Amino acid sequence: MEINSQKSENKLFFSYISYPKIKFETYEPDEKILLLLRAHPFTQLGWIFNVLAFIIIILFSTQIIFSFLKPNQIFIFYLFSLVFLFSFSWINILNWYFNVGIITNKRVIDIDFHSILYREITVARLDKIEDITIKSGGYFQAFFNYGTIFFQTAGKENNIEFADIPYPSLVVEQISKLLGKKDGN
Amino acid sequence: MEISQLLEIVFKIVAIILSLIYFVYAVVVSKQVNIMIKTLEDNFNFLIVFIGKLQIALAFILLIFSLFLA
Repeated sequence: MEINSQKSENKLFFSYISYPKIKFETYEPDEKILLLLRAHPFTQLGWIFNVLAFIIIILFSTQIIFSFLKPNQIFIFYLFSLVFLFSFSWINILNWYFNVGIITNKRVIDIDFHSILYREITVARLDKIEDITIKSGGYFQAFFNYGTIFFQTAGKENNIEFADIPYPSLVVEQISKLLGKKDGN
Repeated sequence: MEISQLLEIVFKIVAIILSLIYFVYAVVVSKQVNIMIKTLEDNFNFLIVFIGKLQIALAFILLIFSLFLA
């Protein structure tokens, strides 16, 4: 199955984008970006459910809170709740949006932001990749077709991990083609 | 001092402290968003920067309300 076309794509809430119109920090001018990968949207349901649960808790707790607080205090309470929900959602969206895996015609790049504040960029040249492993197990991963890819690299270079990305086997197929081209096959 | 008055003061102090903490947090997140968009540039960066700024505005509104309304 061929997913990639030569046409550039530019989509906001997608987790598998072929030929994306992006640039990244260590981008080299003659480099061609082939794939941009994020975690499968299904993996984000956990925090979305937490937000919904918090809304329900707030709505039910007002019955108790109303008897203790004045109207202006209730307003402040709602404002704080709203701000908390907004921030929690925003942090999770940022985490999802900027934790990406990028495959170019030369390299594999893993950009990770841990708790927003810590940044980790791991780069591996395609010719340094020795082994690729797909880990996909469980009911949901099989149903929604997502999994984690591990790239084992030669020498002292860090290993790369693309966590919970969609179509892992297609991604590996894509990389294998690139490696084949590099080897002259 | 009645308990209700004491509760009001405690509520106001807690609201001010929390809104101050949130304001600092919003500024830090906004700065971090700038680092993030430099790391990964795409056509939707303007939207992300806008929401980052919106968070600071929200934090400021929260602080004002906490100071004068709580």
